[in-house]
Amino acid sequence: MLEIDDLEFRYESGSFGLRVSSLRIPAGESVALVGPSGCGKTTLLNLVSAIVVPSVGNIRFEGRELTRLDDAARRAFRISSVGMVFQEFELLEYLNVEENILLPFLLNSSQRLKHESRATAGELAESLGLRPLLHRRIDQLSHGERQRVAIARALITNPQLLLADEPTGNLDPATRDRIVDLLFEQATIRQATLFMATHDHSLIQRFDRVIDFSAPADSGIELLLDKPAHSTVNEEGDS
Amino acid sequence: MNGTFLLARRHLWHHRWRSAVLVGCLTLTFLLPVGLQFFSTHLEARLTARANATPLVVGAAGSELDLALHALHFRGQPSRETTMAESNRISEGGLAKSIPMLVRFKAEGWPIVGTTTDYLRLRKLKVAKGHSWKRRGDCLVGATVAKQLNLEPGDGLMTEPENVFELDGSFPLRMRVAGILSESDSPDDSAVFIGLETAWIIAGIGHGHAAPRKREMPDASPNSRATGEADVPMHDASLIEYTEITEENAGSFHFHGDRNSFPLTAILAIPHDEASETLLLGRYLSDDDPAQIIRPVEVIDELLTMVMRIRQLFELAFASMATVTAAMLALFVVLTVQLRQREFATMFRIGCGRFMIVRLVGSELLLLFVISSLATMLIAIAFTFVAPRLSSLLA
Repeated sequence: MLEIDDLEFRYESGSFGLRVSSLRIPAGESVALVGPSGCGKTTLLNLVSAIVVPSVGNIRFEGRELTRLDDAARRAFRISSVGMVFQEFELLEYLNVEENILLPFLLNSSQRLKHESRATAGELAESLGLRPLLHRRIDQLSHGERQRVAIARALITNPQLLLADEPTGNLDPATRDRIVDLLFEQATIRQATLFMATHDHSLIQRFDRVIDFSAPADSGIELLLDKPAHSTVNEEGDS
Repeated sequence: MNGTFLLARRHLWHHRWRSAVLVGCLTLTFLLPVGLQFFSTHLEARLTARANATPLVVGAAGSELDLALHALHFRGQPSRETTMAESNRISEGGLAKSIPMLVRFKAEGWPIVGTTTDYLRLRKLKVAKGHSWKRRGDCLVGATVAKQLNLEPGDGLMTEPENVFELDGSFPLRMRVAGILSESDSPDDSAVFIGLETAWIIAGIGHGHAAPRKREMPDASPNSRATGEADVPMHDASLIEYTEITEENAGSFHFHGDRNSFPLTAILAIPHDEASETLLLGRYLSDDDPAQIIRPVEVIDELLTMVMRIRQLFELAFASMATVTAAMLALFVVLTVQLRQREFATMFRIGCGRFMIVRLVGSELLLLFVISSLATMLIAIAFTFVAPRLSSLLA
């Protein structure tokens, strides 16, 4: 369960912020964040993944108070509990497919790359149809294959939170559908909570819940803007 | 393998040409001072060892450095020559043993050292193949010369004419290789040794030829015919001068003039003791003396002091180069970090700390340093094989 109470966050520039009075997302639920660019979708993902810390309020994940964690603990939380998929894939061109999948382990300085990690990467690659590509360079892959590698990298630590920031923005409709299917399938297998920021309204029926940042409603989330004045976001339950 | 090092290694390999340029710059920065130090130390040791093994050198008055380099390393020529009389003066003085040397000629580019067997004993030169000189015309070949010219005992070796345009000068002499000297890691490896008389024969002071025809005088009196006065030796173009000394013609070789006037380019003087050395040095104090005596170790020390000053200038240049390389490296790091902002941001969002990113960039630099150091070491090791050759070319 992800719980947010009385949260207020403002960027250092002070021009943009977010206020969330109360938000409860049960484990395994899928949430779509929709709205135009710059409306706060990524900010909410950053708060949930403990990349940024609110000035006021609490964020609890599975009973763990994220706002009280120090830097190292927040990084450990991201590596162990959060899987992130980005619009531009953000794969490292100098690593091959397998090494990109294993990147969270490589970045964890406290442990050496174990044989089991490679085995897990192999299994994950198998399930995502990437097995034949494991030793390919990134520039040898298509867009769809790259996004599948990015998803595999997000899943390698078996996260409880799967965050996707407009993961289908650069994909054609057919590939987009396959990637979204994959994300839902993997989130379901892992009982992970899926947060997906998207512009694509055609996808929102698939989510358990939709937080629409463009429609004012009593969602419990409020955008803090210098201009225009305050607007709120609407939280809709999926039927 | 540690994840940071794997990432660093992969990144450097992905940009391998850029990495190679950096490794090249670093290797050069490390190698130049190391190489200079190594080379100068080797050269210094070589020069000093040779000078220490040669107590005194006597030669015609002139440049001390020229005389020292000539007598010790067979390099250059003193501006004037001395004579055998000077060598006899030292021997007869009873203060030192004298070893005369005439180093004026070359064979296939290698210096020919005309001397006595005392020289071989002084330098502890052993004959590895063949035997020592047995007669005029025999030569002993240094190890390097033998290797380079592929010489074996019994082979022939021609001397070079002093001046090809001087028709009345000395003729080239074909020497017989009597033996090959064992390697001594000294300038002796790169020289050809002959007896003094052979050297004077090459100089044209001694020569051998067939017996001259005798011209009969038709109007000679019976009395003069009976006494042989009517037979005049005919030294004309038909007289054959030998260009090789063989068993058959060895007896015909002879010298003209007073041996005391025969030329020498240097004389090594080995004093019997310290007091003799001081006394011998005292005998050459006069400014009017046409000869000079030097202590090679002092002359070489002076030369090395000059070399050290030049080395300091080089070191200053290398320090400047190291500073430029360090600045270039710092610029490289700053630009790399700027170019990789997006990559680092992704790493940060996945869960990587800033310290980890510093470690990653640090590991890349460390790897570059390690590779450069290894390259420097390998080149330095290779240099240990080349340095003696290089320093022997200079020394």
